[in-house]
Amino acid sequence: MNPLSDIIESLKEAPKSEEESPVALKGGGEAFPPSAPPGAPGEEGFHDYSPDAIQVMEGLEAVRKRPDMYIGGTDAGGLHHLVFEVLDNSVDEALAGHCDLIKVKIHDDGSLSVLDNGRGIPIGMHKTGRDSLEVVMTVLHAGGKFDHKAYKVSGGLHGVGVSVVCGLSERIEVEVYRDGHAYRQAYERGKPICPVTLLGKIDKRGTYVRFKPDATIFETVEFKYEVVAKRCRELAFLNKGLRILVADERSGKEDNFFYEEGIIDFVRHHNAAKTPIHPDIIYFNKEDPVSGVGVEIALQYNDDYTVDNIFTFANNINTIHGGTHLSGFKSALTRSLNKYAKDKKIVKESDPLPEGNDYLEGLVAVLSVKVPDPKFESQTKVKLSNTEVEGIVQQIVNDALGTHLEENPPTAKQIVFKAIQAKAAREAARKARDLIRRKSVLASGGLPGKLADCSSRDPYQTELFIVEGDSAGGSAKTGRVRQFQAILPIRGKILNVEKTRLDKMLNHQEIQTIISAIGAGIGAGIGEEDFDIAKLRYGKIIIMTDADVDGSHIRTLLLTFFFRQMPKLIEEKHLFIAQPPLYRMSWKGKERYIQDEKQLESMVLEMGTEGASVVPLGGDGNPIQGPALLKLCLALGRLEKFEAILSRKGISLSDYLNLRRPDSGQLPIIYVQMNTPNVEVKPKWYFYSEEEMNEFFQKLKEEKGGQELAIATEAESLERRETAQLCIFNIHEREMIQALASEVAGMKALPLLYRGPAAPKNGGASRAGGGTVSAGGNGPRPIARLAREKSDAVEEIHDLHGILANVRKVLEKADIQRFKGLGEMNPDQLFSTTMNPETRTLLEVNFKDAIKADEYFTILMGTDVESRRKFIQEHALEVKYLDI
Amino acid sequence: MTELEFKCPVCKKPSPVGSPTFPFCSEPCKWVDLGRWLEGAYRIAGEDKAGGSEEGAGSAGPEDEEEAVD
Repeated sequence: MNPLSDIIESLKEAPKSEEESPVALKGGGEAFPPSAPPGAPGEEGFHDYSPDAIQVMEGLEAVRKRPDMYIGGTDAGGLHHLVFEVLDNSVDEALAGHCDLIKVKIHDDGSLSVLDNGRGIPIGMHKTGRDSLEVVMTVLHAGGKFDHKAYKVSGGLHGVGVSVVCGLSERIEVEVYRDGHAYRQAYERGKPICPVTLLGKIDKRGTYVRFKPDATIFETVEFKYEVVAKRCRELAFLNKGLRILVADERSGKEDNFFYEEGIIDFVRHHNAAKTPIHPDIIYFNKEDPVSGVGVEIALQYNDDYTVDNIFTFANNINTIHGGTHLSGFKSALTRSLNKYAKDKKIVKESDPLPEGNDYLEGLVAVLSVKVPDPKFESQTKVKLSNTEVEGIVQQIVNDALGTHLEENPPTAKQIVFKAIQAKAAREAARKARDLIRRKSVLASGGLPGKLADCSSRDPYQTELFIVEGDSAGGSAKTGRVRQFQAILPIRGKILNVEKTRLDKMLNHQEIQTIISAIGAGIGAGIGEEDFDIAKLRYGKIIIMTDADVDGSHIRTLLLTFFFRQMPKLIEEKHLFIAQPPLYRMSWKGKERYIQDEKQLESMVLEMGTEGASVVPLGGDGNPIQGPALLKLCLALGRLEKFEAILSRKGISLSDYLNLRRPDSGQLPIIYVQMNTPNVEVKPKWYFYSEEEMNEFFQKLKEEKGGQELAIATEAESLERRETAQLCIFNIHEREMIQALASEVAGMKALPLLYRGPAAPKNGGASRAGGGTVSAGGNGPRPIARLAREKSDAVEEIHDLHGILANVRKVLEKADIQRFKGLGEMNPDQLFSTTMNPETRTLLEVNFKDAIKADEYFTILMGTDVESRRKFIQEHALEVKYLDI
Repeated sequence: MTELEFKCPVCKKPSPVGSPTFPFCSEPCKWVDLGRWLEGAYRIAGEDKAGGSEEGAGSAGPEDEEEAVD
């Protein structure tokens, strides 16, 4: 356990006989007496640095025989241990204040050299008859009695000394620059191959060690630059002001490590790519006056969640398994921060305080202790075990950190907030684990009580309906196909918030029930208890909610939950939304369920055309009736929608249809509008093709004598369009309108008169707009007559829209009801409309929908009333009937 | 996926689509979210019963803490 400086100390004091004074060398190359043969290995004088003892402290043969005992192994780790051993000696010199530069180089020949500008190993004849340099290099100083004067300058405690390196090297050369002279000695496999030689004068000082590890001992003798550089950087951080240059001759790599602020720089360096949550790096460096233990700490929190960024060192040794210094630091850290949190009332008295681990998330810290008599738990020196250190570190951290927190309240608060968050996360994890555990209990015993499971266990076939409400759940349970359809009713709890609002939520039982029923677990898909799609109990998970606001809220909650916690369900297309009917229509004693507006429209037309016949007045008297009439009405109904679209562009559908070319059936595709100021109806030109329009522009140009007009297309901004003289618009609906027009025109006897002069111009798409048409009198001539079975009344029809309006009159007699809930259907109805795979419609949820649901959710659950109101206004329809 | 800029629902940091913890940026955030579900912290705010319109009918109404659906 002796660092070089320790040996130096002992060498200075130990020699007492006459031969001890250093031999003054007068010229280069003068040899010293050869080394004495290795003495008998003895343990007697081991703990005693008397001159006599030194004689028996040999035995590099032992090192060569059992290298594991000294350097932990003969693998790459052991190999690099040699480097650290040599490095430590130089760092000791730096610690003692005698060295500020170390150069490390990996050489082409597989050797490595370390040069420092320290004091240099003492040169001079030792009473053993050997030079002190040779003693340092070849005598094993393992184990540890320290001269207590030595520790203060001792950092390197890898423990075995440079002699071990010497013993395990094929060859090692040492040069010492001291007192203006340069000396050198070389060794092979632990034995000097020449005496210490005075090379000559030199005007620098220091020690140079170059060694080549013994390939007969090590499994690998290839130094890794990264490993060496990492340790050098570490040492540079730990010893501020020390410059360490590292170079690799093999690759040309090199680094220059120098940190003016030491471990503060280390923390800053570590957080460079992160986001610190407080600007200041907390730092202190204190020494316990009684024990002499030094504690130096730098720390800063970033917004990460990693917990393994505390770097601990004892006497410069990287104690990767921590030890007493780390435990002292952790407990003091928690104590100081919790004391602050309590004193400043950041955490309520009734609330539990964050715990130790909560304060470790995002923490980057360097903890470096200097211990006079360090003890390590194992040979590899990765864990400090001095019991007294724990209390000392605790005391120092409590005092120093407490003061820092008091003086920097924003920093303190940020750290406490972060820990509170971490605690919440930990709580969540615990709950989740409980849940999983409970789930596995359920898996052996049974499923949640509310679940009505199906008998099949084939996930390709099975379906789980998550049904809103117990009563709908009951209907679904009765109506289902028990073999492959499972029903899980959920309520969606309603909370009365301040008596002004009813909030929707899923309570934890419901969430647990859902997770258990689905059976695939929960989590990120990383751990073994996590979500595993292979364990899915049902191939289809179907959300079935009412078509009202509450239903859409529950659906949003469920979708958001699945998207966030089981995204794989959506990714792999297992999640669906049932489409229960929106309307119930009773007509002529029959009940019908209608899915949506579109279906309602066709249903109405179907019923309205039943038994009706339209006789065009211009024809041969043959009526249009039955399927032909329905087809006509469906086409007219669609034209009605386009009427509304065109009217927004300022075009009347009737006028547009008048432009139809009778031969080809073509309708215009482009129109050009002139921006004439102060004229209400702006002139328009219609074109049936691009070519026609080009001709128009050509002509226009000629008329204007070559002068071009300012034009704008639809793509331009509104502003540009308003300032342009001519605007060009495409009629994108052309193809569809054209097809519908052809269909209507196919009824040869009917003129293509969509709305006659009597009909209101620009009439909207209102369904109730038909009334005006049949009013006879002096108006325009009718185009057809409509008669109904079992009725004498004959209506005069004045335009095409009149047919539609008349047919729709059936609505007045039908009882149409918008559905309020699934519960309004009996089990059979619910099954046939919504659950029967043969007849139902299911919406498959995709990722985009789910992301949208998440967005709605975030806004809908927000407590910011104003922004919610605004959102609901803007998205009124989407929110109410969130059609995802 | 069009939403390349998805933000973690918990911490609002960017959360790349396709990461194992998506839609969360990290596992801790995912746990925080699950914890909130289990705590019942996620509530969809109902519509405000705006001002006086509703008041007349049930001014002396019962102090209903909770209402059941259905």
